[in-house]
Amino acid sequence: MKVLKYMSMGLLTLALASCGSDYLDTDYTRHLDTETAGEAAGRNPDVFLNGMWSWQVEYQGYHDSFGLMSSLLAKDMMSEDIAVNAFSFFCYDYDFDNRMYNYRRTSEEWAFHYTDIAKANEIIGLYPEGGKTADEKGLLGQALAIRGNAYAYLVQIFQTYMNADGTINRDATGVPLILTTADGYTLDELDALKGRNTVGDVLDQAEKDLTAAVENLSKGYKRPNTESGKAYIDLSVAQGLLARFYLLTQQWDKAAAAAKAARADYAQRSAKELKDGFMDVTASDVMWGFNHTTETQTAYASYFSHISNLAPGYAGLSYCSKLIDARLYNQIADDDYRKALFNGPAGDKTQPTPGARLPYANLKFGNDGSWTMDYIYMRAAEMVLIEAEALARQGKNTEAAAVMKELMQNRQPSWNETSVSVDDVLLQRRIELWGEGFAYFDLKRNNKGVDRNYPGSNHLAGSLHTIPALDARWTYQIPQSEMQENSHIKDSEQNP
Amino acid sequence: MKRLTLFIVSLFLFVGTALAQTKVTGTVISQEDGEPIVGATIKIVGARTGAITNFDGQFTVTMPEGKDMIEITYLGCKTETVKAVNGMRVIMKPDSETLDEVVVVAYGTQKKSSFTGSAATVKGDKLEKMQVSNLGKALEGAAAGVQITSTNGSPGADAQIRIRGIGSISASQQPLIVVDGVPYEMSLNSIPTQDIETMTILKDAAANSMYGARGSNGVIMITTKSGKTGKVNINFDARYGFNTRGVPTYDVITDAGQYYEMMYESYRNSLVEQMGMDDASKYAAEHLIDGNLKYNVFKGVADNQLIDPTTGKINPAATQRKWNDDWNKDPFKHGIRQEYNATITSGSDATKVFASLGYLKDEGYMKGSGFDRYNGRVKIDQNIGKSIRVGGNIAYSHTDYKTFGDTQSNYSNIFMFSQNIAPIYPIYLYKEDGSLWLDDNGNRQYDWGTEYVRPYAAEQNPLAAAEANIQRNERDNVSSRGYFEWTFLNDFKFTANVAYDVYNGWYTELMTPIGGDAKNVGGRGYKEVYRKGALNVNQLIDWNHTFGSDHDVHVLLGHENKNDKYRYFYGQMTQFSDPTNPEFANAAQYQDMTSYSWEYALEGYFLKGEYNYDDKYYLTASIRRDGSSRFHKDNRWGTFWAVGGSWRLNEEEFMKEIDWVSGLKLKVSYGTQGNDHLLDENGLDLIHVYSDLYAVNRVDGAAAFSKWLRGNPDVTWEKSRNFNAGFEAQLWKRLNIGFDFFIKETRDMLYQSPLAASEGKPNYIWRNEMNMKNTGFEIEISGDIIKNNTLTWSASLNLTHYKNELTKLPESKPASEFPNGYQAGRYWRKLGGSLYDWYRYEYVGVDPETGKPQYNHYTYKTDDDGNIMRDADGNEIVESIEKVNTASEATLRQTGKSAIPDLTGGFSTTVTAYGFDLTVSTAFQLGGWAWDAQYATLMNAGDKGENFHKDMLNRWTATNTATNIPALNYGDQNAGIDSSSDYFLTKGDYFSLRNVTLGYTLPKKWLTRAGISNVRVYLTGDNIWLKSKRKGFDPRYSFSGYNQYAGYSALSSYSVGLNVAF
Repeated sequence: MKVLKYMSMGLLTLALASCGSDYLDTDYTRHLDTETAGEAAGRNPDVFLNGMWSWQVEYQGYHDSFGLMSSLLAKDMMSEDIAVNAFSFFCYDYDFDNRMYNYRRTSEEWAFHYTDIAKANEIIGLYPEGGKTADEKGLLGQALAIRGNAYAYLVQIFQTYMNADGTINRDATGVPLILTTADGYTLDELDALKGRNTVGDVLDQAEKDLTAAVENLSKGYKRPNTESGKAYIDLSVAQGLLARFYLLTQQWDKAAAAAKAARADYAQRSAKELKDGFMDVTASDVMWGFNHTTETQTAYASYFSHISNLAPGYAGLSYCSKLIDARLYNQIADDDYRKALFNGPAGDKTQPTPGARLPYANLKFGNDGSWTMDYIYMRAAEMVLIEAEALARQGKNTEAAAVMKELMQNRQPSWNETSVSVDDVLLQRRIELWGEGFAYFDLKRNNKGVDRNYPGSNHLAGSLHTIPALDARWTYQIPQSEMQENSHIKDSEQNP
Repeated sequence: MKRLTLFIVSLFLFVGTALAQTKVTGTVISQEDGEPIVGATIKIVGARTGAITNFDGQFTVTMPEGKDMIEITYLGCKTETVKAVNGMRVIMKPDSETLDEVVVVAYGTQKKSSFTGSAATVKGDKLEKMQVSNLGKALEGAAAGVQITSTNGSPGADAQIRIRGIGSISASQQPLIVVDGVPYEMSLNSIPTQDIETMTILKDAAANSMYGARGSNGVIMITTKSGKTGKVNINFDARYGFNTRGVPTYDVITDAGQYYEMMYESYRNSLVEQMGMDDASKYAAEHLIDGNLKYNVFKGVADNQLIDPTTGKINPAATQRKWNDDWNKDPFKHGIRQEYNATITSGSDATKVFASLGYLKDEGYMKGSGFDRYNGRVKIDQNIGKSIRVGGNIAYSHTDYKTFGDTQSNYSNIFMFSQNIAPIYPIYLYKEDGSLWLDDNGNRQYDWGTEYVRPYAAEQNPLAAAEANIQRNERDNVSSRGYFEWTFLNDFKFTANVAYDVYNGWYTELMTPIGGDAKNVGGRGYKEVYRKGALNVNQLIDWNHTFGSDHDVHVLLGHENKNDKYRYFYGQMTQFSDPTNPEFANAAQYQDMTSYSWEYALEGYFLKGEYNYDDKYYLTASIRRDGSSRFHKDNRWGTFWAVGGSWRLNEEEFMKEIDWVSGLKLKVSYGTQGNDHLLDENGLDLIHVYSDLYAVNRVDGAAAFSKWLRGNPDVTWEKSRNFNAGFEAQLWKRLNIGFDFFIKETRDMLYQSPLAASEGKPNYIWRNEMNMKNTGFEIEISGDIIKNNTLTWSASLNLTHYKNELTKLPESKPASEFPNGYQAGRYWRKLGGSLYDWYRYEYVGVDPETGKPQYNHYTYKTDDDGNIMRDADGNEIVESIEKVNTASEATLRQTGKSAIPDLTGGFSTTVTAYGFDLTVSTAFQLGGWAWDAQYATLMNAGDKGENFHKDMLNRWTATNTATNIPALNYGDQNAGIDSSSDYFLTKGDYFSLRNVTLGYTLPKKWLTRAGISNVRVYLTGDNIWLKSKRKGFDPRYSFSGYNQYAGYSALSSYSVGLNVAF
């Protein structure tokens, strides 16, 4: 009995020693929990928008993975416009060998756009009734624009969405649609949309989002009038995204109208500005872009490290310098100022970096002496090209020429065409937008292949590919994690 | 002397006691040295008479009537009670052997005989011999069931420790470290080996269930030395030596001419398709330097004359080199290693004191790496009256860990760089004519690769970087322990322990502005300041009682709480004015800054009962309930328990007859433990997993929220269930055998469960979902092979084998839907398979016609719906196998090869004779497949400026078509063997000579006059030799077999030492 007495005494002692009920609620100050984040967002709704802009430039742990621009550069490499001097970063893309389900590029690409969608959905979910004030509509409009744009990219990258006859194959399998209850769906409906859907379904959703974005952003929203404010999507950018979408979906009249509206408030880049390096969001023709600061820059793992042979990164060091395709170079008129943005076949020994001395090296993207060069997502020049192409597609070749003139007057003063064909516009597109992330998408929507194996080709010896349009190599496989974790997609639904 | 004194004293004591009836004469002999014992006391049991042995160890007693037992006692020996027989010989066993060994267990100690669990003990004297600056590394091969890996051989670097195999997937797998009874929160590099009395590794449930919450990965109990009763004892140990490379380089091409020939061939092959053989040969020879390698190392041979395009051979005139820099030799030097330790022990009956002071300076094999430590410890145990004991133990150490960019697979890691750079590139900058290109001050300059556009690792010179860069982690570690012990009412004991461990760290990194990555930003500097304090408090009540004479009961009741607080500050700046000053006061451009803090708390209650009958049958049972702050309120608490029993057979009557079995114990235990130690993908603690978390990123001064974690309130303890059964035996009193069979099943493993990537990032969520089982056995054998007066030779061997098996797949991939498993990156996971079963392309050699590599492409039979058909075993039914030339066309296949070794172990032996002692320790592993990534990089098809393994000499050429190594062709990315193919899976067998120590102890008679009790001089070498499947390949890098790029080589250390005791 004595034992029991003392044991119970002991228990009592321990009970006294035991800690309070909140002992296990501990402090953690590195991140915000849902509640705190929500309260902060209530005070400043831009925090979630900023989260999207920061995501678009975020370093993902590999030197060829830094958000939107690495996605676009990887696509550009799958064209014939860019040649390289050596096999290094982005060269598996260049070799059309970075598309299998178990490859990193495939999963990064997928995750990049779907994270954009998830971030957009976080915002859209806040407004099940739609925005009330201009600012709320602005917030919602930007989220919708990002989501619609992401779906448009996804369907272009993860599906052969064209028919051989040049029409869109709306019945081909598309990609999962991740939406929210604020979009008016029940949970069961939302779940059902997580399968591959059809190309048509995905394009319809993108169109719905982008038009809703334009609608919301036309209610008086103004983006911050600062350098960094160009990261935000205002009405002009939303119209630009919509113009891209209409061009993709062959709605020519709408494309021309949206592109015209989008560029209304921007001047075209002057001849002098052409030489400024396409690295500053304050340039007159920049509609949308990201102003890098020391905190957001990613040094070697950045767009400029890889694209600019003049910058002190990989391209400048000649690890994998980006050269213009010799055949394209030869198609640039000799009196076109843009020809000076590339070395000729002899190279240029006077350039400051090994990369910039190479034959056909691009000098388009300069070097401002720091790693904080900006990323440009959309320029007014592209809107001219969209408008001109859309007009030419409708047979309005004269009007197209008039539009083109707005661009060409600062490029090639002698240019004075009165009628331009679709091919004329497409050639100018390749020259003007070289290295900015359009080549692959243009080849794909125009059912064009690549042919790097021509006499005088300056492409890398092992990569002299000839790949016809509609080849399986143009399309990424669905990444493994999606195939494994998404129960709505069967193994047999994988892309070839 | 002692024996004689006692003899004289005893003579007086026993004068006149000879009132005899039966006379018995006998001899008492020491077992230790076989010599007669002088002055042993002989007492007749039940009488008041006795005797004492004489100089010859002989005694004579007269037995009173009815008495026939005598008791022989002698200081330092076990008391013997035997039947008195005339002419008898009594062998006295030394005390140390008979004293039951004590095992350090959770919240106390236990006699080894009564211990029902499984533990391995490594004694301090063995650890002292090891010249490791991190205690963890001393465990390689030292004990059964313990595996060590380390990707970093630099002095002071931590090792990964696994007990009974891998036990988790996403949570921490490091065992719990307990120092002097309280969990320890610092690096093992802060404790010098000389401070350690024993290290005990608790392996099964019975042993570590008492650490319930955190015992799942095993527990390492470190007991520091204590003061001893007796005279003041001072011990001084000094050793001085050097460090050198422990693992050689791979067999790489070292001859520049040979390299040029190979690269010429690679260049030519890349052009043949375009130009045809003749033109390609001419072009490649012409442009080998200007179009490709850029550096011509040979004097007097023009760049375009190096190779004869008709033969492909190097120009015979190319004999004299412009420079002889050797990347594999010149950057490295032997680092000096010095270590000094002094300890003092003293004690009276009431007070025991131990104090130590130490200094270690351990320079690395590579400039800029090294580890310095100053340490001191004071430990006091004080009795107050008869029932109270208090004590304290405070240790301080300052550690200074210097390293450089040594991450694996990083160009700036010199151990990889030096092997991968072609043997034509210099370290220093030379002019075209081969003379050194000096700077304005006449000093030689490093070649950063920028001047001549070196195609391999431009802008890098890891030697220059190691000299100019700074990477330094300084820490002040204070570890304090205090206890209060009150014994009351005979059977009760109350103990309170308080411990506070704290470290303050100051991390400095500077990437030099002189050259390399940070040149164009004027140097880049990082600072981290951090502090971690860990408070641990426990209260224990012990009750010990013996009922009757042979029912012993012990009950322990306890409460423990723990609180860790961590604070962290980080900053980054660029534009450093003084290139040698890494402080921000010297930097102009702000880059980044952050700070945060976190707190972790744990609370537990526990109860343990032990029962033993007659020292034959033992039972233990324990239960513990723990709460952890990592989990949601509703899922915080977990209950862990264990039961165990043992039976000492040798105490049974029927075993007494069997002389050669001097000890035999059977034991069995079963129980559960937990694990709450969640880590993020960077190995940092995850503090709260139950709520969504957002990171605040910055966009030009504005906050940008980004979801960082998907919270899951359901996450709770990972639990392991452990079964252990085994025996311990002693045969012929000199051979000890321990055997354990174990099953360790981890359930509800904390798993970073992937989500469909379309959900957006973070595309995983923490869940408790997989189960995994390790089934295996451990054997420890040790014994004295020879033991006589002049020579002892002992040896010990330990072996561990286990099989790792997945017993439940993640919820998103249940076996019902994935009966054949699923691909998890480079591994294939299925029920019954191991966690690390390689999933690779099948490489099937070279196409003899073209020299291209070939892989298997499988076409499987499909049913009408397009689904793959499978046979009864679940394997795909193969319709056809084709050979393809690129990995992307090939099929990934289960290889049937696991990274988990079949057998790991260690063998060590010690010989002592004539004052000399020699110890040899080894460690080894059999089986397991690792991916030899470093080898894969050296088997490239001719990447510009990158060196080759000598195996490439056997590549396919038009004249050497019977080979399995493809042709060189750097223009074709698929020309080399794909690194994800099974070709690079390499058997993990190795044998390592861990330590050899030769010592000589000076004869005592030389020393006593000088007041010195012991002097020993010794030579010792660590990590002397490694034999693996391929020269240069070190299978000890990782448990998963992945990431086998050459990192900082394990070091060999050789020292001469002196040990003096007063």
